[in-house]
Amino acid sequence: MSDALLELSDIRVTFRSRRSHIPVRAVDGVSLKVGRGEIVGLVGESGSGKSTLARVVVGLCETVDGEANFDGAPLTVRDRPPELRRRIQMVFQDPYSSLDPRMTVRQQLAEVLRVHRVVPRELVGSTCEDLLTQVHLPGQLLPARPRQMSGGQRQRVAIARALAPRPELLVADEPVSALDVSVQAGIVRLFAELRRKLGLSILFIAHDLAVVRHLCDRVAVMYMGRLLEEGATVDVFENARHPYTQTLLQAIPTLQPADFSVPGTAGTEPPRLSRLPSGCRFRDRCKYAQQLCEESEPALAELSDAGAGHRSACHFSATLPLARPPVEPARS
Amino acid sequence: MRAGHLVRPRERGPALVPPAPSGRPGLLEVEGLTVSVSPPGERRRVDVVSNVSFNIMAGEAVGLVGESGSGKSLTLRAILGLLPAGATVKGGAVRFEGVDLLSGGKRSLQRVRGTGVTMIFQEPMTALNPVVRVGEQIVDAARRQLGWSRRESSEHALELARHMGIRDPDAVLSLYPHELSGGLRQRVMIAAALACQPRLVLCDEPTTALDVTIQAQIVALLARLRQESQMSLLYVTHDLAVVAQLCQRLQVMYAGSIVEKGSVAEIFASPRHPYTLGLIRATPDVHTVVDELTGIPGSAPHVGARPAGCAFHPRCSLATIECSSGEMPLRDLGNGRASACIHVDACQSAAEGLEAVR
Repeated sequence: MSDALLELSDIRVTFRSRRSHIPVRAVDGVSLKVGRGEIVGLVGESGSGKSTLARVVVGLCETVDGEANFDGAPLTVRDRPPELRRRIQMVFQDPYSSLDPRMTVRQQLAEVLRVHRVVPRELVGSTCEDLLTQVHLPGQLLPARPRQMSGGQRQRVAIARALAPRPELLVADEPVSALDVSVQAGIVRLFAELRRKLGLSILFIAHDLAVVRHLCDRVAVMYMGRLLEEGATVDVFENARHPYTQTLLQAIPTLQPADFSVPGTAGTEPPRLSRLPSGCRFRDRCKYAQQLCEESEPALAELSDAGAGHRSACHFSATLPLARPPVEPARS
Repeated sequence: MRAGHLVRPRERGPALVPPAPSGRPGLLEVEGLTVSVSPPGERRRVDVVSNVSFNIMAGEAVGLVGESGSGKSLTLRAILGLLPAGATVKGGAVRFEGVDLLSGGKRSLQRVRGTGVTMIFQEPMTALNPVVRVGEQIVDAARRQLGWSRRESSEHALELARHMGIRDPDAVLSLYPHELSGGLRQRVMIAAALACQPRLVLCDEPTTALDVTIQAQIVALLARLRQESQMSLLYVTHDLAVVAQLCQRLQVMYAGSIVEKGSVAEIFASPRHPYTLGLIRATPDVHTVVDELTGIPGSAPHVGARPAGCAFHPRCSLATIECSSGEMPLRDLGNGRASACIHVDACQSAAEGLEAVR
């Protein structure tokens, strides 16, 4: 008996290209667990399959192979029982398009409460107010429509709507990417607080690693449909053992003026999913790539000399230079 | 990565832009620029950029930072006469190498576009022509302005594409914009903007929509071009970290006005406006973890609802009664720094320990 709330094993999602009918594996054998009350970050470049994986979890993706369990019971994709749907909710990236522009805040929240029969009819009004309080918005916003609110307020309404059916797992797909930094910090704090107060589990998808570092307990790094590294946030950020993770970390600009370098050959774009290299899929952007990487694809394996649960999919994880490679200044 | 032909001495025909009169400070001078629009559903005009002044020297990269709605993009667009419908320049002057771009009409703008000033937009799809192959678009302006031959053009297009980190440039250049991914389109547009070796590039959040790996490469390329060929940059972004990597000077905009300016190193070490301090505190750093990220309470004012006095005072923890009325001009603090805050000392002490946090 594991205490994982969500357990994905060997998930595969295959799309067929419309023109050539070549099958493309957007998600190619991903296994991932989200524990109760745990925030797991899923990071990677665009096209890595992280949003597709999110859609698998909430049931928006139909062509799925592999096994998914939620609270010990199989997580079906088609004909998912309403009760199971209620327990997994999603927050989208863009609150401008995820809210109905013609509905007031009260209507958006009340609709969810009614559909999932969360509270008796006479309590719907007061529950709407409670939900707004939970996301730190004043009750006066109940009659407002999305266009009357700022981006941060809209995202809070979208979060309140996701909380309305009292879910156990929240899937948040880039929920702060469209927001200004001054507002972003507040939303990140809200997610942390919801976990603390409600015991929510959160699958947090982001391309901004700095945000992930501040919020998540564990991180999984995805590349071209596969997990390349996974572990406790502090282990992955301070002791990255996959060249791809190291590349991502180095590419992030910091507030220290000019401590910045071009991350090796990985500055080039990722390959196309339909034309993956043989062996390790990162090898053509990897500065450590060798013959072995061409011949066999490394499995995501537990590292013996790192933190518990720290896994990496690189043949050379054990011998890779650990420290951040020397930094070449980009300006005078 | 080498910047190849991009840093060769300029080869071009007769000068299209008259040389700068001597004694003029700066490549670009913006003086008292004011842009006004009508708020949605209203007839009155309100200023969304008010009295903005700055200049940029040759070979200098200047960051213009602010949140959405701060007027930073409109400032940039006003310089090249590219304001959206409904927005008009109400006053001020924009001089490039001494030539006024605002009063000179279309002709003076056309003279500087391409070889003098170019712009990189955030949305590549609207900046590229959907029915022309991208290879031709990259060198289109250069062929006209610099008189490149067809063969020269295709060689340059290939080289530019390689500098942008485009894989398989031969194949990519024969495609149409809709066949490219967002990141590729963006790099194609940047290549087109750099093809004429402009002296000033206006960047409107060019890497905001890109992955960090691609962003890193583009920022490094711009930094190198600035160093090696004295190209100047005006870089509009909301990402302070990118500014820290690329720019020497920084100006922070809030609700249409510049509220703080100075060198990047000094502002990040010790900001003198509470808004700048708030932005720095709100920016998460990937290499260090603070207990809690601090945001700025509230949100930026809507167009036409600019608070009286200091526009930032309703969100400011240092605000006093004096902040809610009167004009708040930029005050010179010496050493090229200026702030519009009347509580500069309080802000300085509030910023103490900023280094310790990071």
